[in-house]
Amino acid sequence: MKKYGLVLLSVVLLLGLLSACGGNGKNNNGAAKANKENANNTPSAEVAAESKEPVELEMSVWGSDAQVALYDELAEEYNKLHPNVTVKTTVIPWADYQQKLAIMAATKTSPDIVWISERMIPQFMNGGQLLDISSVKEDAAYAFDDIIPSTLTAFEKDGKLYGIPFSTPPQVVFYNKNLFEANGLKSPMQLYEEGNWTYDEMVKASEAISKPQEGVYGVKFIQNSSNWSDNLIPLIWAMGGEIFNEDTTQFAMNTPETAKAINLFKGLLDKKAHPSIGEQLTFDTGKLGMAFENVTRTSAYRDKVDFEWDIAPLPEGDHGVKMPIGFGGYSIFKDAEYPEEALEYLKFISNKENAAKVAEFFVPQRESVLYSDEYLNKFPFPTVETMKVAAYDRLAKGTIRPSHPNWVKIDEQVTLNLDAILLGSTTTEQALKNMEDSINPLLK
Amino acid sequence: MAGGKPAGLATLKSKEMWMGYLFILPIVAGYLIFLFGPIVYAFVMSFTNWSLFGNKAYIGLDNYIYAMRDDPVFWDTVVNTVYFSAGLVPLNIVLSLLLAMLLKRKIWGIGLFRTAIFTPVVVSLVVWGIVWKFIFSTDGGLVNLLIRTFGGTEIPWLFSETWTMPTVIVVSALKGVGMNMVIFLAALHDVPKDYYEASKIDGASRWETFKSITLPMITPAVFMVTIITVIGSLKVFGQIYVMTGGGPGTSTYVMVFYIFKQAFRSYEFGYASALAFILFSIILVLTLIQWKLRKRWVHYEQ
Repeated sequence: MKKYGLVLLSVVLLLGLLSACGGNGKNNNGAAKANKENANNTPSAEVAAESKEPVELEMSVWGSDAQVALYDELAEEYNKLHPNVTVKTTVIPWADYQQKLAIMAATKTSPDIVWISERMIPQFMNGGQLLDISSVKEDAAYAFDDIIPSTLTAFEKDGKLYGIPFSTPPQVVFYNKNLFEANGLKSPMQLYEEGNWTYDEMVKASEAISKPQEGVYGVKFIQNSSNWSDNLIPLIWAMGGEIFNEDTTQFAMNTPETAKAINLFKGLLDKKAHPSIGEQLTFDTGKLGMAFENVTRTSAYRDKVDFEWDIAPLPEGDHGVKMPIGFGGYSIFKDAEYPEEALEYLKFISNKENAAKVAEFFVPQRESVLYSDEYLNKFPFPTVETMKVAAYDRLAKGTIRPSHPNWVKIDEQVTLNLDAILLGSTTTEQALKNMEDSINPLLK
Repeated sequence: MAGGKPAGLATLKSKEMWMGYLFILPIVAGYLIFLFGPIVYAFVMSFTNWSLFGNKAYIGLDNYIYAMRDDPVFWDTVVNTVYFSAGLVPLNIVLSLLLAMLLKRKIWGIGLFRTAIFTPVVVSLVVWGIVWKFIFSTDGGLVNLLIRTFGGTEIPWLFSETWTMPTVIVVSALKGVGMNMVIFLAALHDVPKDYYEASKIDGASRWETFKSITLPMITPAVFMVTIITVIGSLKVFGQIYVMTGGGPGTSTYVMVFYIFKQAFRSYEFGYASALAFILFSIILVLTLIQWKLRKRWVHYEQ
């Protein structure tokens, strides 16, 4: 008897050990739900006094404290105009954002308005979870035509519109002037002006700058294979490669063009002109000649580093330049309790006036804001001319990185096979073939 | 006897019984609601194709069959998990026993050393992982810096199919060795001194003393430490998540990491639940085997 008791006890304990992993997400959900209900049940006395029904909206962001403070300010202003509406801003860390939003949406506890990135859109848009907001196009006061069309593509499906972008930073090359001068090299901007700023020149400069024994490297694209879609996509594009075919039904990376792009990257790694995979070396240490990053990173380096730097446009590859732009937008979840009010608020924070306000942190999509003197001259450095050449003038021709409802699985397959290439355990061609074989079924 | 029991005693007994249940109610209720309920639910989920967005449908054993027969990554994760356990368990137990023997002596300042070796146990696993990730980083890491100083060629510790798993094993062993050392210390202190005196009189060597007295006397502790360490090593997740993210390739995908990826990255909750129950049965079987073999291994003082 006693023995069976002990066996039973160990079974029960094992069950406990195993479930430790799954418990977390569920508990969080419960908490979020409780919060929301709580919030709905306790509107402030002031609002309750209004004749209109009190409305509490929730907006989720992955932003910084300063950005949240700005949104809180906007919410307060909105509350003055519409005393029955209060908006709460919730922060979800970037790393967990998509996962958390997906679970909240599945359990019908999602925020009303959400920040959303291009990777997340297909999952929620194709899942029918986002609200069609095409009606903003008819609102004359909103001036929809002011928004640069290339920044809207990610939100368009079957003639409907599912969100409004708030930040679409083009990618640029940050370069360390001191390192270029110390090695007697022409800067990327000089090369660009001579019409000679190509990936070949970029590789040459990287190799000249690199001194691995001193911890100095020429260029950094990515830290881990899993970041490939951030910074290898532009390289693949420049060489004439694509990720998918036009209607995203076929995987398109298994081409000599993509192989060339990846081999160029691998060559930099092999020659130690690029920090090893996994290395956490960042541009602000002054030990990188160049870094491929979104233009919004200027605020992270401006007045914060002790070396001279500037930005330049992306180099040209065999097939010219295809400018990748980062993406952040606002969407509304269909299950929102007050969809109309949520839409009104979305319009409020993305109208001309407030788009200019949030442009403190982001690259605006409204031409009237982007090319306003106020925006362009906000910071003395990098200069207006540089910013225009490197970033803004290319925005209209920019392309948002591709995505797919199955992106997470596709991403995983590319990462695994890219690891195999970088480890040298497979040839680039074979790995690209393997990617194709495992990814095509995911696109069906 | 049975009929002659005074009525008062019975009520007292049942009163005590109810008080007892009342006292364990919080933990039992917590266990039922937050652990046992979800576990039963996960078991049900493992027979569905629930993927968070789609509709849930009962698909019988398909998840289990897919894992065993068609999923190439699943067997990789099993092999990797076994590799991790086979590396970690002996290393951890030998190291902790050696340390316990070393730190058993009563010399001045020994508390300091015991504390130093125990400290990693109370450090957060994530912090521990991040720090060691820096130490083992390829270009700027301390280990490769030392190798370079002595003229060797650096090794990509955390980006290599050969080296990454051993690195994670060593880092995990260093983290957990303190706990097992404390258990061994306690067991070593319980070995009666007169045995050692007797062996001294008989002229036994140090090795003979260890083999014939120390080891048999601490087998219950060794048994317990082995079970705990094996189970712990099969559930490894944190250090993999922080240090390697499963990479390079799938070379450090372990079972719990794969379950996590399936559930919370790909949202395949049904499949992830099935994987969790496969892991559960593996651990269960291992534990039952160990339990059966216990009698042969463990020497209890009569």
